Amino acid sequence: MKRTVPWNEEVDVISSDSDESSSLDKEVEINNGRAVKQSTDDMMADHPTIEITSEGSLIRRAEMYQEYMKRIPIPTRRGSIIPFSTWMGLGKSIKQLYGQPLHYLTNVLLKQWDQLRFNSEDEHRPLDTIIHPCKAEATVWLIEEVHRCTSSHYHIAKLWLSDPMHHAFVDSIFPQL
Amino acid sequence: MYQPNNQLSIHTKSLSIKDSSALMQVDQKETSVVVKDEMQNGGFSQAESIIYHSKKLQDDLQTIGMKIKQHEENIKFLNSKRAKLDDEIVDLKVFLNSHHPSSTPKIENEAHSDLQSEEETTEQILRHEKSAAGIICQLKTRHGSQASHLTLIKDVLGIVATLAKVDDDNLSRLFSEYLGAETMLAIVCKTYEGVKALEVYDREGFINKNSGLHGLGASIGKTLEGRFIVICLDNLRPYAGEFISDDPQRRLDLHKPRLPNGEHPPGFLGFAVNMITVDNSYLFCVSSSGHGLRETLFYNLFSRLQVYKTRADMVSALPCISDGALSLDGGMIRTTGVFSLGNREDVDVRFPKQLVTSSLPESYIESEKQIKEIKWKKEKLLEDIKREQALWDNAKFSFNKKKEEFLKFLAESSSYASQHQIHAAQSRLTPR
Repeated sequence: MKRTVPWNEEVDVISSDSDESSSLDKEVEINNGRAVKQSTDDMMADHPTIEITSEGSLIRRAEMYQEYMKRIPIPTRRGSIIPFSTWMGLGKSIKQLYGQPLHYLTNVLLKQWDQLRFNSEDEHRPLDTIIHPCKAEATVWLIEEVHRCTSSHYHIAKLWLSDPMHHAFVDSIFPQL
Repeated sequence: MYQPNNQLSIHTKSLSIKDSSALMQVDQKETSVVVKDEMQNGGFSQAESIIYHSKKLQDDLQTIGMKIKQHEENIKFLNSKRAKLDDEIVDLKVFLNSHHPSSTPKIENEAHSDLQSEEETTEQILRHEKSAAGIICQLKTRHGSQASHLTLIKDVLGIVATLAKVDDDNLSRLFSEYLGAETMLAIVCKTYEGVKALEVYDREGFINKNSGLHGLGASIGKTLEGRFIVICLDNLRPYAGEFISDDPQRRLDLHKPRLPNGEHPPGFLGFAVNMITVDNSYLFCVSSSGHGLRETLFYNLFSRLQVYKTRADMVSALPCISDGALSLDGGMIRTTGVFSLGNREDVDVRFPKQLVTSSLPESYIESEKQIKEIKWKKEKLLEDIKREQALWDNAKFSFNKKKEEFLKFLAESSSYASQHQIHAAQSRLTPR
């Protein structure tokens, strides 16, 4: 389906998406919203629930994400000892070993933990000589449980709104529910 | 005995906490137990509890039904989003086509002069006839359009030597010497699936020479010998730090070494990973987590390799060197404490030179980048849909299970009702 006003539309998208400033983004959303509205008249009139603002749709997507993550049970048998040198690396190994995604918030946190080591005295010391792998893994799972069971999708949506590339921290691992 | 029981079971609806233990019993145990209990007590309250239980099952069914409907609506919503992204991609492509500057002859000349050096690199790779990189390169150059359809090649981004550009000839030589021919000729794949497709093993653990890259090589008359390196982008650990803000090349904001007096070591020129030029199309959204090649591939290859002007500068900065260093006059420290002495060795595969000037207008490059970004977002949206569908399937499964339970319960309670019709009739007559 083609939009009725493609030219204004395109110019807007091009000029504003590049610098990702939120005010401009909203403008695009409004424009896009108008376009969608136009199309709802003829095509999607039967789905009045479709949200058209970027914030609304982010909240809805965050809600779906949180519900999905809530369904994934934390593994009960964990006898692994994973040598690791960075938190993100440990996270990656955990995902591969247990075939489960980690929560968006956990992934962000692990990155922040990696970043807080920058320029510290023993930045180059392997992390598993500072924190025992068992302790580190237990920490990750505990945090993961907190994030899966307790986070509100409004909070996640708020974070996503300020991070256009948030999907980089949403793992594409799909365990059997 | 009659009266209080009756009241209790009515009350449970509103005051479930008070009688929760009794309720749980009715809920958890199978209906047969309920029926048995009724035989013993022979009470009217049992009929009441059957009605209550069936109502509860009905309510559960309804809530699950609502959930299913909600999931369906969510999927519809996501699909409409996907349609919107598709639209945007088409619009951008229209824009690109209408602004494509290929018609002007001036650009063609420039592109040609650039091709020259890229061709050189390709030729250098092709000279390694029996290497994996040589085979892939040959497939791509000689059987271009057909090769891109091969599932084997689809996942291959390219050979390391073709993925970056270096302006300075001397620097280019140094980098290729530092990485070594084997790494320069390494094949870069996007996913581990792609790596697996390149080589297949038989049951005894020997390489299957008829499939994968070996089979391809045999089909064009080149037998693959020795080892070759394959790098899997998705399995690399990306750089976790910040980027230099507003840098079109997305250079990494690495901490520059500083001496105790607060100054940079004399002769320090920069980090190798920031001195290469990465093609615009490889700066964003290349790996499935949205990273570009600089923070994944080249950060893993070069790490924080420092470049100094002279050997003397490098040696005087030794305490500040964390991952290795190069000097323009040929000094090399591979890792802390490992010094490469002796004469330079030229590696015959080098990075091509950079485009002299970017011939394409800014807006064109910009929209190309956007298409890449939207495509990546669409991929991620498809994953969202996959997630929602898993929830949907899950809800449908529990709906069917609940329905079965409900039907079984109805059948059993109706058989009970026909056995004790008098009781049932009584229960229906009692006021609520």
